[in-house]
Amino acid sequence: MWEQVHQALQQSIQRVLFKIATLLPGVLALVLALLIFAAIGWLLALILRKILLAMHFDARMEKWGIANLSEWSPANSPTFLVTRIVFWATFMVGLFVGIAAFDASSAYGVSAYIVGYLSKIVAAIVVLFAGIVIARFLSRSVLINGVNMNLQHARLLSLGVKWLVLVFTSAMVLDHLGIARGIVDLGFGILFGGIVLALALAVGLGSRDLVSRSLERENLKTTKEEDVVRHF
Amino acid sequence: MAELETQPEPKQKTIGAGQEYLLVAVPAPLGSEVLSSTIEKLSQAASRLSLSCPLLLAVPGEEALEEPVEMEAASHTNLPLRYVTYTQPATDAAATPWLANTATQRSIFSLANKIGIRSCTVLGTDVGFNRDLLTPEKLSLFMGPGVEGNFDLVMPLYSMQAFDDLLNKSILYPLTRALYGHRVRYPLANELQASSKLMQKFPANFEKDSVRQQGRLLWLATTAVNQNLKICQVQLGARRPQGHEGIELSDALAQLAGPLFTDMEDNAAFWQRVRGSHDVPTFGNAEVASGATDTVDVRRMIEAFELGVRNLREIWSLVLPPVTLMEVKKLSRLTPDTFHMPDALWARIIYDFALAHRLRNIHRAHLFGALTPLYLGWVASYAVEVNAAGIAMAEERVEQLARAYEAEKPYLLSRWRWPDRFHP
Repeated sequence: MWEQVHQALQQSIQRVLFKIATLLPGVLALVLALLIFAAIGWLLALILRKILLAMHFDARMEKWGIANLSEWSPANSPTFLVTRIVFWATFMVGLFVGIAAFDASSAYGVSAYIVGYLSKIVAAIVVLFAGIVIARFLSRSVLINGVNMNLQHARLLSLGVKWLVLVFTSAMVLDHLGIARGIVDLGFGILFGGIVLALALAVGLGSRDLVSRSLERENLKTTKEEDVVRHF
Repeated sequence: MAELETQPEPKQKTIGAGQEYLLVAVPAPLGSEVLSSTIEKLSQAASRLSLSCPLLLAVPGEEALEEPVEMEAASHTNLPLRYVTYTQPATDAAATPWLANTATQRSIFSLANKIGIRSCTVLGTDVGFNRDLLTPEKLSLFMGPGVEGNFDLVMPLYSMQAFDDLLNKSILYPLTRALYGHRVRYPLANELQASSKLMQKFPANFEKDSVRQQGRLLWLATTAVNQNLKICQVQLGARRPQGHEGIELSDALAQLAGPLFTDMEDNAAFWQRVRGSHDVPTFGNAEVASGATDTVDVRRMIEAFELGVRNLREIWSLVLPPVTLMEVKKLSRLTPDTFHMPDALWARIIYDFALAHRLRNIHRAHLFGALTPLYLGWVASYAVEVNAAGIAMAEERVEQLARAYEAEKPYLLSRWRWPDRFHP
């Protein structure tokens, strides 16, 4: 009895060690691929940076009126943005190559699935990042314009817009990743539709008189003041 | 400004080849009544000035006509006149009037550079044209310093009411004065006279300018100072701004202060060396602005300012240092009667926004929107003081603000050179 147990344990340990021995070259290949591609990426970024600086790339971008690129870029430098993109793109290629090598050595056939899902994850991260940036931009726009229109609840509106965009983005991300797709679709539809309906009812029925009185008052005040003060 | 401060230099007798015309640009098209009455006045003005070279009229046309043509419309006057035409660039004058003005002025300068003239007098553009200003006396006064005195740039000086042109009073004038050291009261004028020397500083092929260049305004006085050219001002009398309908205050701030901030970035090496300011020669007698000025109800402006303080602190904190934010917050606790924004604080706020414009701390579309409630706070403070002291004090109040801008310039220099040191 004890011998059988001993034998079974030995066999399992051998199997585990065998698996580890099988995986090790793959892990080594993955690390090596990452290091090599990181070095290649760094070198490419360095060369590209020198070329772009020699071309006065930042000044050219500004001259061409692509000012937005500077605003999106760290350190307000389009050159820096481009070299970073090149480095990380090379690094990602290294990651995929490493995973492929890992898969070949382990013979599990997971790489196709991982690579396929990784591309989805990357796309989801991009969507999430864009959503966060857009949410921040729109919420600031609404807040500033609301304040300049003398809306007392400008902050509330701004928060509403921000969360609306974030909820929309989250639904897109989860849908893209295929996580609880049915629930997300249904939940988002109910939430979004509910918010819009609530706003429509609030403005259309509840606050109709309030809004019209407020607008009339605003109009009267503006006309009276503009007769005396001329800003430009 | 009751008497002539500086006498113009002796009249230049010889005119070089290629500079035989004095160009006068009028926004009225050929055949219009406005043009014929302008010619009449111009004829009277020319007789007052002993012109040593002929006048050449520039009028708007569908195509640029660079070869001078005899003008039949002027046959009833004794003034020998020829004309050329300039094109008015397709810009949305209703939405961006200052940009449209600049585009027209550049079109005129481009034509003048091609023809080769001695000086160019611009009597307004379509947007800014004011016929009432064009009395023969004022025309001759306005053209005199450039024709007889060898000034490279003649800028107008208007008598404005206390609550008119507040964007100029609060930002454009004091900022350009503190930066470049010249006291040109209306740095963005529709009427002006420029010498060929000054006009040559502007490229002739401006149609091929980059987008960045096309979005700019012409700060002629700034360019003249940078080039060490001679500037003067001429009193053109009382005037009320047109009040462009449909333009939001934040948009106007972006259209006027934005290009000035961009100009600051380009001329940083120059204005960092300038200390203090000096008067420029001024000709003509000042007139009192007609029409009684009412007192202004500041409650709504203060409400807008307080709303900004309650809601925009997070955005302001990206632009303003904590000390300034504290001072702004303190202001929101004042009652309308005692509301007062110190000039030094307002000057520092503008300097901070200029720096944020350069560093792009926040998106530029948001920057001027965030400045609007602060600007209304300054207007409220100005109005409270002018209401209390009387409108006669308004000019003194603007002068006091301009001095505060100059006094706070070291703050701008420090922040400009070492932005991280002060960064919130």
